[in-house]
Amino acid sequence: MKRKIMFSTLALTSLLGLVGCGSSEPDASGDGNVTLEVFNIKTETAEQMDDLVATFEETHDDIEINMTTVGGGTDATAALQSKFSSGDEPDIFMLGGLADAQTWEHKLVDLGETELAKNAIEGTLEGATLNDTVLGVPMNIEGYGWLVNTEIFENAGIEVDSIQSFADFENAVKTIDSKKSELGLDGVFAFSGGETWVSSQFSSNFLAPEFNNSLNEAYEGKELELTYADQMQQYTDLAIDYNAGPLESMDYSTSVEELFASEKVAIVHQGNWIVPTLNSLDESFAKDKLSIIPMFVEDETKGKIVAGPAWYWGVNKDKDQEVIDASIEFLNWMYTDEEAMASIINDFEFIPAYTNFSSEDITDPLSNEIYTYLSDGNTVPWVHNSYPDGYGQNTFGVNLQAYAADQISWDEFTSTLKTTWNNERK
Amino acid sequence: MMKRNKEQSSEEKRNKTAIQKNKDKKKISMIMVGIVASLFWFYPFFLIIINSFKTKSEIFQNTLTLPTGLNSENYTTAFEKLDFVKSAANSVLITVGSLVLIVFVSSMAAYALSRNTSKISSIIYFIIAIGLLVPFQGIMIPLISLFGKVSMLNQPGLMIMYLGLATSMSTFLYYGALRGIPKSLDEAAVIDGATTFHIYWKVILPLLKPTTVTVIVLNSLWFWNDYLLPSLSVNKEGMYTIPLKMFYFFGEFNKQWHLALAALVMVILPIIILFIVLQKHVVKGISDGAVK
Amino acid sequence: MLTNRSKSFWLLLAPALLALIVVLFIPLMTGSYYSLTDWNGNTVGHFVNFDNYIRAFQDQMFIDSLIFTAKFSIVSVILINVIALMLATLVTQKLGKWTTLFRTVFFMPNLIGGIILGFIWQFIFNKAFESIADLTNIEFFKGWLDTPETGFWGLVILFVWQMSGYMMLIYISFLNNIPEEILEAADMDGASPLQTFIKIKLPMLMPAFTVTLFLTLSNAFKIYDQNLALTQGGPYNSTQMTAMNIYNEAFSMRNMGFAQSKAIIFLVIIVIISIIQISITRKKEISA
Repeated sequence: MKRKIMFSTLALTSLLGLVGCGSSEPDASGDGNVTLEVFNIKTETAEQMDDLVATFEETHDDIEINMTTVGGGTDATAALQSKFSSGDEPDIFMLGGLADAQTWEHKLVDLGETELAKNAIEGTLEGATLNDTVLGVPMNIEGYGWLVNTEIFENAGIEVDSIQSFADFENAVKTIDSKKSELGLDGVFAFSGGETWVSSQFSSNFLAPEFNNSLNEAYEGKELELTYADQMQQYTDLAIDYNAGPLESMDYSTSVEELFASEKVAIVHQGNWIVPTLNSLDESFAKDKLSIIPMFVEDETKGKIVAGPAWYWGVNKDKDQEVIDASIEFLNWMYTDEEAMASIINDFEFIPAYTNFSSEDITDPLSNEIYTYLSDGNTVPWVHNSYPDGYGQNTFGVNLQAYAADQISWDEFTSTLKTTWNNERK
Repeated sequence: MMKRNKEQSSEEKRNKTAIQKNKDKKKISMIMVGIVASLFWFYPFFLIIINSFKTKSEIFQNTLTLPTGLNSENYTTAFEKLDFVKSAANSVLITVGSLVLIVFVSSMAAYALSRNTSKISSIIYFIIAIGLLVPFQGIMIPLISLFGKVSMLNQPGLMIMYLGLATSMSTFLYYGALRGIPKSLDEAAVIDGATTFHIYWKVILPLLKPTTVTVIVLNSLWFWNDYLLPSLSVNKEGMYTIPLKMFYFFGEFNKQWHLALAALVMVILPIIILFIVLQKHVVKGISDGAVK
Repeated sequence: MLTNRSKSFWLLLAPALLALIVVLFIPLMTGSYYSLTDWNGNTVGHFVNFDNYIRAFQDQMFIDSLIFTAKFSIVSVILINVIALMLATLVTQKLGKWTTLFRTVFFMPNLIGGIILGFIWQFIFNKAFESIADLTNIEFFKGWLDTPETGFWGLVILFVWQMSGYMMLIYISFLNNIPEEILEAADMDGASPLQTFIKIKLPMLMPAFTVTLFLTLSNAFKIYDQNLALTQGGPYNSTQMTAMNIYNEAFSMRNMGFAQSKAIIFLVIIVIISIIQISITRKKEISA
């Protein structure tokens, strides 16, 4: 009988024991040391982050940082969601725009009075501000649009700066296409429509002006009219007709690494985040022949690119005050300490979103170009971050594939876009 | 007479050798078919292996040629990025931990059910059978939400989830085996004064060894390779299993075939070696599992 | 001894029942409730009656994914079992050492997880096929996974490659159980190998089909990892299977309640199919 009881308690405790050890893990140990849990979803910056954290810890004995980088293929939103629902809440985490800000509003500290919020370039806080409360501060600026190989343009006899309207752009594309074989090209574009996130970003060019270039208006927008559907069709058709392969299935690697980097195409729809990849394949590419061409949507002669913060840092408010203070201190340090600032520009290759950086510091030509567009007011924000959840990729991206593959007509495409939007925002 | 006999036997011999030859011929042609099919089956592995030694641009140029040299750079980089030792350790921990739980829990349950012929016992048997039919997707969302709410994600939670998902099948396998173990065996032990748990531990469990092999083989392939459930329930980077880490090479901005292929080879190789070593048990385990 | 009243009976059963309740039955119940709400994973959902179910049947993507999954399952179940049976027949031909070698090679893909298999075949279809196309200029090798058709066959090929070896092992164990004398007797009677196969082996294999069909069918229906790693559902969601549709609805669109109603529809379909399949093959088994 004794044995029996012993055995069954053993079996049960082994089960329950497992249950037990999954629970609480204290954030701050009592001895004045604080451990910060930071949840990073930008995989490509994992290494730089670790280095930066090491530098920070050297000068801040009482703060220890635990950086978790998740992403690269896994859905960032889902990853964050599961992190929270596991009860293991991070102290600092990333927000991808207003939808995330709203989801986590009840968890976020008001950062409006911080130095970072005051330093932020005008307008860059909008993507994480709800009811005048600043819930997140920008991580960096990212810009995207038609990235071009200027050398190919020149070899085809086209001056990139001379493109001042859609007609100019169309002519340039046709000229390059006519000289395809001499230039050794597979096509003019390598638009990777197989990656729905690329298409989702592309859509911002045409939806932003409809919502007055405001993230908030897009976020609140109950109805989608597609005011600029014609412009969207012009650009889309051009990309489909002159793409180096079927637009609906081309993937990122083929588009950027195989075709664009090896100069088999002249244009991709991408952003400054491809610079490190380009550098790893051809050191001179980004420095000598990379540029960005704006899109002419709202104004026929004034081109704009999409630029703004893609990600914001948010601080968890359900934590001890000392943890919250330490979190803010870390974020502040990241963008104000000189060593950290240098790392943000040189190692992370970020375009800073703060005015205490000077534009001369930005050595990468494309980043500098994007920064100039932003300063000159020739940008529209990342409105696709204000779409209904999953709309940009699962609705726009997927249906664009169907349109490119001739499965649906343009009218069917636009009407699906409208009805889905209106349904989701009912 | 004698002469005729001799003639007959030599004819028989000739006949026999003809049949033998025919059989050999058939055997050789069968082996040829087998070799062709095997090559066909193995070719994907071959392509992965040869390309894992190439540089990025070599892969873009041609994937069918042999690599120019055996550069191991891809492997060292992939080893680091995969955090191979840690990820493998995590995978081992999850797999072994879940297996231990399942072996004990389901063999105990099957033992109890097989030695009780009452109505309640058959009702419970039926309830356990429901688990065989429910697809994971049917409970995925509420399951993750439930375990999340009580802070039970990551390793311990994952093991319990696997336990719940695999119990039905394993209990069934054990139950089938237990029907073949005569009750007189444990009755004799009872007379000797042994307790139920003593019998389970000393008599039944050892007799169930072949089934335990089956349970281990079938479940370990599942746990080791699973992606979906860990992707939903593991959210600490240090706890990533191999399938989760593999996604590093297929991220949005960094699909790097040369590294990914090296990682694939690195991940596959130990499993294949392990299989070849344990082949007999694996084959027997799977065959037994199907026959019961 | 282990009567209903005995403590040991319940103690032995407790861990298994506990695990089943926590992992299976509570989620089944809460899930059924969620499916009637507009729960989004964070805020408490409102009760919406059967709206989610009505919406699910009107959701073209969901219906398409069900049709695609059914098509995929039928084609791959047939192919897997035919090929596995052929491989099993080949391997049981008493080929000496070759038997082990062949068996090992054919089983190997089954050792590898769906995610990794998906990546392997992504490489084969995208890169290796491209190289073959460049070399030979044969249209057939161009643009695999770019169209719904090639995406479909890509998934089928992957799954056949993965599962055939497993099913082969099961068929082998049943073939080896056929008494030698029967086969020899048939041989003596001058039966051709094909005749022996149809008249003798096939009926003896009937119980095997119950197992193999159940395993292939349920695995084919629930497939997710392979789908994610090979096509991610593209192009334009034409190769999206139901499991992925549910996953995306839940975790990308965050319509958890709606997704759960799809999950329950999916569950009901699978349960019905499994029951029909098992009862049919069981009947055949008995009559054979």
